[in-house]
Amino acid sequence: MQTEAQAVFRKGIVFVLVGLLLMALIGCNAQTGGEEPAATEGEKVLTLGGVKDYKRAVEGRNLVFECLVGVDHKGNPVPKLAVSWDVSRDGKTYVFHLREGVKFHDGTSFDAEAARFALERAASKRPFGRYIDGIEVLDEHTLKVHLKEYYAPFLLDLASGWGAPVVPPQAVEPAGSIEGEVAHYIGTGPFKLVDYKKDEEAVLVRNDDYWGEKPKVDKVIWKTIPDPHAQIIALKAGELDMIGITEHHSSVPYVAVPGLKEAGVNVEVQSYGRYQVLEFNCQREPFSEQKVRMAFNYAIDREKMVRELFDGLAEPAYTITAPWFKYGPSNVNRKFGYDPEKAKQLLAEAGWQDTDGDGLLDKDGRPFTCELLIPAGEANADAVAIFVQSELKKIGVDMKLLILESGAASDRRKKGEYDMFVHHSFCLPSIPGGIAIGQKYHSQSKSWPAAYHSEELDQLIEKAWTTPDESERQKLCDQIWNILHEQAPCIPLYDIVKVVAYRDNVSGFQPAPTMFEMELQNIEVQ
Amino acid sequence: MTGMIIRRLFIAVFVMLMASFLSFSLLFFAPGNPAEVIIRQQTGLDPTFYEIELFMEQHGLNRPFLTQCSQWLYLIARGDLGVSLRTGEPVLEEFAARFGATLELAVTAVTISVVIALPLGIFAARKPNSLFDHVTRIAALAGISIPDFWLGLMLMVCFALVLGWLPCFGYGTLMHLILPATTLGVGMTASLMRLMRASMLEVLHLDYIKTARAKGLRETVIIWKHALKNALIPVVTVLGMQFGHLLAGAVVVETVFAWPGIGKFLIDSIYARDYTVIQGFVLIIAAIFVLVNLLVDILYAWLDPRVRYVKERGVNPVATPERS
Repeated sequence: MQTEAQAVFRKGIVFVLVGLLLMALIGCNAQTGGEEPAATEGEKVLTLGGVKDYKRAVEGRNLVFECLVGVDHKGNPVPKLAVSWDVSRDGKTYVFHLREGVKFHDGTSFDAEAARFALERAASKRPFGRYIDGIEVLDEHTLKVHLKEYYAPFLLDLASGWGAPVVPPQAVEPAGSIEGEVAHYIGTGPFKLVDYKKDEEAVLVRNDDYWGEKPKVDKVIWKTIPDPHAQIIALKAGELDMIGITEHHSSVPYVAVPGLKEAGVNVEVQSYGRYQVLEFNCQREPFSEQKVRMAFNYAIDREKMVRELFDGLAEPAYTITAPWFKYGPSNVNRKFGYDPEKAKQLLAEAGWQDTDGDGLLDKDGRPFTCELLIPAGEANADAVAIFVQSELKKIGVDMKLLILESGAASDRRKKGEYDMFVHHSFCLPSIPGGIAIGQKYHSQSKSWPAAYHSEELDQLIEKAWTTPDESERQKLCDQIWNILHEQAPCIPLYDIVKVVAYRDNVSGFQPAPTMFEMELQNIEVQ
Repeated sequence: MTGMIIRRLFIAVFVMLMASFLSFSLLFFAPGNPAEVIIRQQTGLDPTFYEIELFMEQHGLNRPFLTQCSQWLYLIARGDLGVSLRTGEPVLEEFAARFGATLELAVTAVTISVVIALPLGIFAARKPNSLFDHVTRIAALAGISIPDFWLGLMLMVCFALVLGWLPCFGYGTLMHLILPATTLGVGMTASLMRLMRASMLEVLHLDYIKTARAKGLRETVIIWKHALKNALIPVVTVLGMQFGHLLAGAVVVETVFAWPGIGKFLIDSIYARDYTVIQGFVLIIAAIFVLVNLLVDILYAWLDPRVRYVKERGVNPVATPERS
């Protein structure tokens, strides 16, 4: 039996422990807490909300690290840290003339040696490295790159912030090693990273020595907020100035846009030519039949879809990728459209008819059923899938939906185990549309073994991307696009636009040329 | 008692290694490829086959299952949890950077729910089917049924957007802690309250309580002194489990309130098939689970002398009547 005194003693201990715990907690808070250092008088701070942590996101990389080459909205290479370049006739030698007077954030000069280090490091990590034969420093501001063979997307690869950022030797760990990983954010970009807390925030300040147009804000704070709805509330509450810019798609749900506009938030919509598409499995029944694929394309009222699902925010898509891209499908003889009668007729020609009057088409006694595979997390895919399902029902097709975790979905895709697959068209800075060597519509694509492939198409693709002659390539691409629009390997649905929302105190927003970058130089904050 | 603790700690090592090994095997044989997901996250573009091969080769992901396992064991033996495939930083650092936030949130949420749930549960049990009992029952039902993400967003709209009293998101001050801890605490409070009530009701029907009543003891003394300790046993068990779960996965609340804890990071790592992070985190979390359970068992022994007696007799035949 325990005595009364012991019981009281034990209770006392528990209270003391709980008290200590609480004090420890509050103590923790007092240490880590305290308000952030108040902004200095008149300092102009832009606070962004990002779904991803700053260092995990590719979209903010170009604020610190720049590339030798940039790319414009259509896919033409433009000067960046290289002001110009000469390409040899066979397209195997590039001489880059580097920008003079550029300084890294630590004050060292950007020169050909630094550029060589950055390129060699990128080449050791990224696939384009296998084409590089050697990199030579000609003088302080001239760099020569030899390729083993002609490689058409070389400049596009150099324009990728992920592929070939100019990272100087002192920024990596171990310092000066081309194997090294970025340890210090020392770049040439318009902003310097001065503070970073994992999964919380990154603070970037203006680089006053920036070679180009200097930013108008003093500071950019990137707050990590994984939930898009929480971002919207924080934007309305004034804790954030701008959201959506930190994601290549949109972290702003399309359905939230009308509400944001009502609340007086500015909403900008930008097309980057990334279309949402439903890819067919062209290697097996029933979609190995061109007429069936064509019929499905005619069966879907895309106008109605974007109107009803997105309130007209996104444009419907009638070509496989955006026609305005360089080498895009601007000269196709046939576009997709909406014509349910024609859809039924094409299906009938392919042998699909409703013989038993149950409202479903059938052929050789089998009803027309198929399955749409949706990788979880694909933008707007659930709503779109249900719309497509109802449209197909009208022409007598029963489409089932299967949502899989994206890793599992990719595995099925690589094994060709699907009827239809929700995906998006390739966009910059890779070659748009999936018509490059090894991409979707090339038979050597190991990621898309069941997409539409043919020997004729393979030959055209290989020819187009191995000729250094650009006008010749344009003609070949036109042929490729014509074949693809004839064959209907997919159903392009709509343009996945990027939505950026910002408060009234922000002005001067300009969209960046690709969805993987951001431009903050012209932004002003009141 | 000491013997039990040593034995349990010894078993803990096996539990940790097994949990870690199982999570690796499950992910290894599950569909999905770390290279593909990680490159897609980093670039936003679908990686080409060559990019995937290059990544696999650079990170040793092409090697056979057992080779990768033994490689990992070798590192563990040297106290190294390896480097995250996704972030390129040491797993231990990734854990350490986030654990404080998670612990703070979990401890606060548990404290809130204990402080609210236990008294309410006890009062409800004292007068079953009274108005108070019905009200708490409905409140508990609502508390259990409301999903975390919805409650979190609603609290945010209410207290941050409309009233402007609290920040929407973030980490650092006590003000930042209130909304996420409350969100987490609500569901826990609800279930704990019901458990406390049920357990208390059961104990109140036992013979020794009747004896106490027959002796003419005051109801307050019966409940707080005689019944509570026995009624707490199932509650403590559940509390221990819930606390362990909170440490591993307050994912939804961490996501909604941008709380930089380990739950969200672990889930992202699982999606990315970041094997080293998953193995390392599972190892540490398993250790914490084992420790929390051990603490619960020690607490048991304090609450219920019968447990103490059996356990001590099992390990040490010379039973000591009182703990030191």
